[in-house]
Amino acid sequence: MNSTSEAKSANKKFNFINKAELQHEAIVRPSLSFWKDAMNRLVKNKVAMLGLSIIVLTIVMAIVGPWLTPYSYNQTNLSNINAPVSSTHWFGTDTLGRDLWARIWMGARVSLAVGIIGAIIPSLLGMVIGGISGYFGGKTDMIIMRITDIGMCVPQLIYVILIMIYFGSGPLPIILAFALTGWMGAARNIRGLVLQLKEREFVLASRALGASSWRLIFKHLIPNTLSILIVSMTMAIPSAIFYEAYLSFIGIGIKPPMSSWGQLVNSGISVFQIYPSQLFIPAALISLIMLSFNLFGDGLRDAFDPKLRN
Amino acid sequence: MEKILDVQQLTVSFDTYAGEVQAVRGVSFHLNKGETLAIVGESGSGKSVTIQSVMGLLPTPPARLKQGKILFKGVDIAQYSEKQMEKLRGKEISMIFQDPMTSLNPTMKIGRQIMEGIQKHEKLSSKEARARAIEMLSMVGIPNPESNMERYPHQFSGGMRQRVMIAIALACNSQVLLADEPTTALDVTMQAQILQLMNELKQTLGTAIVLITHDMGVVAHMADRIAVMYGGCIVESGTAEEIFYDPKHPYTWGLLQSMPSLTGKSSKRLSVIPGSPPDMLMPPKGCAFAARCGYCMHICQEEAPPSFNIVDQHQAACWLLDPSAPKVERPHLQHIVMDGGVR
Amino acid sequence: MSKEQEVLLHVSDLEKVFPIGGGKVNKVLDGISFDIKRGETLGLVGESGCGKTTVGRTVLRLYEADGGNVVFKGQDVHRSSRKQYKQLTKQMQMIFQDPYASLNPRMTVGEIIGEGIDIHKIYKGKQRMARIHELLELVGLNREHASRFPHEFSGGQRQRIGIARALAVEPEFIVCDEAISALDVSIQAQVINLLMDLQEKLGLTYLFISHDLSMVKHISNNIAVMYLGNMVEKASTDQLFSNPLHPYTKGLLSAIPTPDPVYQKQKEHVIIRGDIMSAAMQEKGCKFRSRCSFASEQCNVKPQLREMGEGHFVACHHV
Repeated sequence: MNSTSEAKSANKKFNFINKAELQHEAIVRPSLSFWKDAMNRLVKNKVAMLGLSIIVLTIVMAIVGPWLTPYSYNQTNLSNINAPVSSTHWFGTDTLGRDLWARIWMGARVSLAVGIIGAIIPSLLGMVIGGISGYFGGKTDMIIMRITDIGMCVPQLIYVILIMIYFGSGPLPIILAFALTGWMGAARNIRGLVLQLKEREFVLASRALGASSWRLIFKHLIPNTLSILIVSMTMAIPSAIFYEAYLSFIGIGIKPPMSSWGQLVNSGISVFQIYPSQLFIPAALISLIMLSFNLFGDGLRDAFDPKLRN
Repeated sequence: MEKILDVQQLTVSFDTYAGEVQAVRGVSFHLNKGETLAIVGESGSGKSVTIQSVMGLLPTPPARLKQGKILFKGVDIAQYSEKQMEKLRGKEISMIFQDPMTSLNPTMKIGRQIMEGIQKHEKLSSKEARARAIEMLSMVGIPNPESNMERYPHQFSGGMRQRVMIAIALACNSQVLLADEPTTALDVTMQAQILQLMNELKQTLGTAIVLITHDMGVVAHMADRIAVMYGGCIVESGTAEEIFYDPKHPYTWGLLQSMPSLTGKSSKRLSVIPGSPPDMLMPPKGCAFAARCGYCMHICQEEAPPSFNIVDQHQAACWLLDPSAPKVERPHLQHIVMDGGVR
Repeated sequence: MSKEQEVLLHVSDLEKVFPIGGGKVNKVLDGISFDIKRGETLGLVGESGCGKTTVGRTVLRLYEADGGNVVFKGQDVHRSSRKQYKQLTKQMQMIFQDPYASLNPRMTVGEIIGEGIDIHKIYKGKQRMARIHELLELVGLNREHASRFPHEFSGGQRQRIGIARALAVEPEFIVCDEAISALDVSIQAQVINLLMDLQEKLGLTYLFISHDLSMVKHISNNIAVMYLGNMVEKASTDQLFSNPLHPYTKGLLSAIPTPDPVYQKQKEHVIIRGDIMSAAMQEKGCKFRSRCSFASEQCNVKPQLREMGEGHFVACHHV
């Protein structure tokens, strides 16, 4: 019936389009920076988010926990020793009648602080030393690497014991001990990374543009090692927490009346056949927080790993 | 001719963080016994994904075979389990890759690596397998095969490693060899050697080859038939003569025109395809090539073109071939050195 | 003296050795010499491992030379002070091979292109941004692309970003180090044309390093062929293609597949057999003799570059 109009519209369809209208360089994907992209992926990772929530919850409890109960962590009450879990003493009391709820969250402050600071300081130290070693190379590199080689021959425990003997026990000497021993591994990692990056073409391009060392380090090398450093730092926290617990457990770390999770496990073990909760609560918390940090670290690593990007 | 491999309506997607990337969108082709089929296209056109899904090598997830059949000797191997595929791989269908270093085990002597493949598929004693391995090495042109059996991959040059890969691939008399850019990582002199070797082996063993490449020069050297891929689809297919001397799709024209010519005048501008290939995360609604095409019509942006039959097996998916489209003169193809073929 | 005749870059007897452990060294460059005149392009061709990338990097002093001179506009590049060198980087730039590794993944395209502008303090603020947009449009991209990250671009687009970065400091001379070999053939043509357009527009001089003779042909005025750290043939592009003299050059030319199936299947192929010779054999004599069909006694003595025709040099005893 109206075949002519149809034919006309069909013909129009077959008209050429002005070339200038064609968008042949258009990018259809939304723009995403590396960090935004990684965060998106991290948020989608349920396991990592669960780990993160437990970590955050533990930190919050470490801050407010001791204030939620009227009892102080070092206030003894010999008339109410080894009390079971109850509505007045939420986690019971220990062999000297101290409130375990207060002691656990006070201990969390110490354990978490030692763990986090004790992981970050050596990592940063290692980053600086390893970065210098890798970037400048030559003799500097040789000297630094030989020092780490020698340093790593001596078991960590020996350094720790020596420092403890010299400075006494407490959280600060433990952190100092971690800082003095932990940087070596981190420095080796970062050095390897920097050596690789240094030969990458974008670093050469920057050098060819006349960039100074300052610029190369802060604009190119650090931004490209940061994600790996963050992951390794996150993974170092649980081992630092565990190491502190281990030191306190064998009696050379935190000592009562000061509290830490390791120290609580140490006290709990002596009565564990009669009052198992005094051992199990801090032990469970140590396991839980280590697991959470590891899960979160895994999630971070997956989020930063661009292999899945296509 | 007997079809040994017949791929029908293959559709493969990748689930990524940003959404579904439609890498292959309904690709159909077949491979006859003893012939070479070249699949040509730019990177991102889906040619490697196509071949990897035939081989069952795509990691799932993120990859997902949404639709399609892969008939090998009439049996749909797309439905095969991993165990069944393992029996097929290396025995019936073999594959060689762009970078031979990553596909060889660096800690294992190459002799062992060839023997391992043979013994996995055939019940042979070590002595027999060893004899076969030596025979394969000399067949692919490696000098002193016996002493070279005892060397490690890093002791070979890139070209030699690709020869070893071919020896491994053909050790069990595979009838189909899938070659994914086998010479892209090699120098031209090595490329010439490997291409010649592949042609010789095709003659002597009767192996059918699917060759993936972006280089029309390599295609001219090897192919009996050609399929041109763009944006996850086959846009033109036909015999080598048809594609080289009588191409119908503007993308094929562009590919051929952008080839540098050795005979023409130097310091002459090359004609190019402007722009960049489409992002298969959001493939264009109409023809995938529309945005870069010099002959883009309104309909090209709205509807994907159907496949038009030209002669026999020569097909092209382009609206220019529609009877109501304006007649377009094919641009001059300067790559043709000889006056020959169907022209 | 007319401007075209001015020699912009003069390289003589360039040598470079790399330690390979055990106190041994690998002589990667064994006395390389060439001149490039202003506004012209020298194509440097050879197979992987022949040292052509090292030439490019040593010319720009990204590597220190172990012998020989690089003179740019009368100034010795390798004996310049730190301050002089920084000024030189403004005039000599480089485009890299791998479009995926040559852009910092943590920086936006705007930051990448702006890096040279910042280093040499050419523009600031609004002018800087305007210049970045201008450069993006110069290489055929859109100004909106400045805020995007490298991974969002295709290989060809990335290579154009690399070109814009080099152009940002308004150089006179650019080393294109295998600038097209990682790209698809159809995209290679795009980049070659862009480089030729820019040369015309901005009067650039190129050292174009590649392993692909056919693409080099379209952009170069002169071509030098390298084999294992030595220059084996040097001639004008037309000369080299119409009358190649060195057996290696002949083999290279013959190995390039022609995109014409009937011709390709009929033509006679001079296939270079075998592989690169061992380091011990390279010590003396012609380094190509292990693969050369003309090799004789004579070839155990190292051949020198001889002039065979006007500006046509070849290092072979049998020519």
